[in-house]
Amino acid sequence: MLFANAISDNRNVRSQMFNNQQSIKNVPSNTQEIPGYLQLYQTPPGENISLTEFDEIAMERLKLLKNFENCKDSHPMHTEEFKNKFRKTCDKIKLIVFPDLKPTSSEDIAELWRRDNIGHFILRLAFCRTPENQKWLTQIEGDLLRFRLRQEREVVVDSSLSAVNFPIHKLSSEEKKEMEEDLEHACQVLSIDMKNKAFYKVDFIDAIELIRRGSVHLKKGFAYFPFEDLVTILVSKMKNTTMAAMARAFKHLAILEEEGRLLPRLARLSNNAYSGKDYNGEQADGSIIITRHMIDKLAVRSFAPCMKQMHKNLRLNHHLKYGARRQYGLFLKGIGLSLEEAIAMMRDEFTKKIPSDKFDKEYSYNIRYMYGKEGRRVPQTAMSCATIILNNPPSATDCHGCPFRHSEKQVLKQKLSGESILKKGQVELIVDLAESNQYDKACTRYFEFTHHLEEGGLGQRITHPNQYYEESQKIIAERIAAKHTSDSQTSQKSEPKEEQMDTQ
Amino acid sequence: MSYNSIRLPQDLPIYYKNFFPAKPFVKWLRYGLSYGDYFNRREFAFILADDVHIRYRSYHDELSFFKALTSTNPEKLDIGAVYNHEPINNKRHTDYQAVERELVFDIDLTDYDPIRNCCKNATVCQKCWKFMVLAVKILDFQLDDMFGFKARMWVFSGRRGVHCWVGDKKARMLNNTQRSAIATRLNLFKKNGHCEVTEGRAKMTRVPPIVRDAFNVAMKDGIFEKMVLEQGWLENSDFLDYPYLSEGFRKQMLDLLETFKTPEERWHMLRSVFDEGYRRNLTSNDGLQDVMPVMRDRNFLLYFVLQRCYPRLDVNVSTGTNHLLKSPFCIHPKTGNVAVPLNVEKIDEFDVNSCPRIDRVVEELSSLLAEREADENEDSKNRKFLPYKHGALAPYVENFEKFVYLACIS
Repeated sequence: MLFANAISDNRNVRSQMFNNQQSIKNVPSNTQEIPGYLQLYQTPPGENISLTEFDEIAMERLKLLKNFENCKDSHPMHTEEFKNKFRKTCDKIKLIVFPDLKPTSSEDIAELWRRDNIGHFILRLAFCRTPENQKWLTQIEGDLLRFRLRQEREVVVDSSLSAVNFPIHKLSSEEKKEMEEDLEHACQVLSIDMKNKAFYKVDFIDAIELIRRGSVHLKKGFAYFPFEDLVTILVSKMKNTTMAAMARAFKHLAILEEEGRLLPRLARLSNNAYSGKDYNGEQADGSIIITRHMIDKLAVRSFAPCMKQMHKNLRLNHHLKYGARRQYGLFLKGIGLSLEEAIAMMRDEFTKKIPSDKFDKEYSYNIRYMYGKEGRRVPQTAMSCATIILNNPPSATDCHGCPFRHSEKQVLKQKLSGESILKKGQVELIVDLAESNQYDKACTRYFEFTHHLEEGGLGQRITHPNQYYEESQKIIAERIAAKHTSDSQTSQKSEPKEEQMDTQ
Repeated sequence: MSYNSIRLPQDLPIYYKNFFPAKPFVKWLRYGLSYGDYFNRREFAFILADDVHIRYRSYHDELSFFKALTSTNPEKLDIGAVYNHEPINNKRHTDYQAVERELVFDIDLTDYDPIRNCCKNATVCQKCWKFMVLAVKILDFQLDDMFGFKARMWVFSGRRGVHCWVGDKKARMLNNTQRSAIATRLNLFKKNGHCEVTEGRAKMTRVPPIVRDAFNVAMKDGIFEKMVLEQGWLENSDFLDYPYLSEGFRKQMLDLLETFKTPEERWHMLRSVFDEGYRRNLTSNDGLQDVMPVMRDRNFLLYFVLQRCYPRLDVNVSTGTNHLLKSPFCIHPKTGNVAVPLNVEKIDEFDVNSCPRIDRVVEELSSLLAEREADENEDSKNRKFLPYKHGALAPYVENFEKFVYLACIS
């Protein structure tokens, strides 16, 4: 398989890939890096790997990162709550995050190292295609590495330094003695701690973050710092190389003849909601069939604000512009509305203003196209929040887009205040989040408040309108079930009043 | 004698043709590489009369640069960044962006107005220049001692400030984040305008090396002592404005001020209380004070000195890779002064008011030429005559050439 900087032997690699061999060996390609399990991802893997394993490792790592982000969202990193929550999600994942879960056999360790390595580099390829994705991956991988390093004991990190291809030097006791006073004062170490503290030296370029903070000793072009800051240095080194490698990989991706195989895989990894669902409208057996008559009720209960807004617009103006027809139409398809129902629903509305044959001529084609019945004949998937926010911003007359991203502060406030269920403080909180560009967080809070959950009670972040819908339905179903059991337990004189409860 | 800018349009062509040191200048910006590897991607900007800016000029060699300079005769010449493509073709590339440039610092006397008592705003006297002297000495020391930068050039901006160019390879390669981190680190002035002499968690007493070293540099040659007297900082008790001075200690100080009336005495008293190095050489006969400041009071003198002489940087100039900065040897249109590279060692000898001025430099030309005619030596007559190597500019060109040498080997 091809990784970031392996373009030179591109052809060779490609011919190997065409063979699509099953993975042959489980040996790290290059033992320059730490043979243990911590790595700074300096050497990409160079072995053959089966597509099945490719998918599996990539999805696993993505899930891990996603879980990590969710936990980080609800608790500050390095707190006990965070650790406990995150540890639960790490159970089934073949990557060691907590040192005490480290396997004993060296073979197992090597295998974990390999998966760590491959997973990271696949995601680099998958996320190199837009600056937003690059940033997200770099940030989250950096945080994960920071978390893992902080869990480690000093000896482990220390001993692995020599194996990393990074000019970092631990001061000998003589070197330390020579500049002891400066180190103590510059790095703000307590005098009593000085004796046992290890100090390191790197080129000052690699310690830029510390220099900005000021807690580092600078002498003749080198930065000196105590062990605590080593993590900062290593993480920022890793982030810098990742960022640079992704920028390079992006250029090389264009000449990679992998349209049929690797590229769609990579696109899938980075594009759709990171949970791995692509909401193409295919429903699992046994799920409820959705008809157009249910939409009004569902919209009130379970639609994300963007969809609610477009639905309201459709009912009010009996028309939707192109951007909204696509965004809303694909969403409806994603929740399981059939083609016939979708056309019927739009026709019902549109023909209140235009003749029926005009609708057939001008609008039904597009709906059929989205369902893969026209033109390219590829069923399309619903848009994720990232797509909605980054592409095709709405103009003044449009009603698509993301209300948190594309509404003026005042308008957004008005819209939110219109929801009787939200308290004033909650509206403020959501507006503030939207103001500081945290649209996903704003939407998640909106979800939680409208569903009477605690702040952070959802336990994940909304990154897809269809995810919003599914989570909402899940909660409502659970509550109905709970209500049923409690009702049947206590008395049977009144009908379960699910209506009142779940429309909220 | 103040400068009359009416003659500037006539003087500029003569100046550029004879006195602009194009050869070392171009040698500097090549950094020991061939023209095609570096120099041709450097942006120059010409600023003509009436503030007409011509940006994105770039040249293939010394001759084409010199021709453009002598045909345009700009009022001001700016040096920009090295780009990934030739700046002249900037419109042709979508990914056109700055990739390298010298690390630069700008220190301007107007930023010292809160503590400068001799002059205000644009006026500059020999007393004010001492602010620049100490700022340059401190920053020059730090750039070498902390970051290991060797190729440093200090240029008088022509009126009331100095620019620093750091030409080391490592400095040129810095990205914007790194530049801003360095500038942030070197800047001790916080938003409230106070100089921070202790930092971080151990705010109370810990003096980081950067502060201690700056203090030592400032106190070394007695320049600061002269300033204390010239600027009259100790004439009343206003100088006790240290934000962390405890009330008890302030009272003690005010009592001492009653005993020590003249600024000289007060300065001696301050040093004998706060400056450990100075204290050590004193006996009780020399006026050793029996006052022991504790906690943050101990840093009072550090604050007093650095608040007054630590370099006040214009951080924004240092941060941007693509920021344009006035070239050395160009003329300040208001004062007519040549922006001359300074010798840091002898910077206190530099006199702002006798800085080479374009009208005087140009006047000198005829006598220089006559001197050469009179020269009996055949050998030197056959060589090309470079007026900038003679006359008033010569010592500054020498400073420049020293820097160019260091820059090329960096």
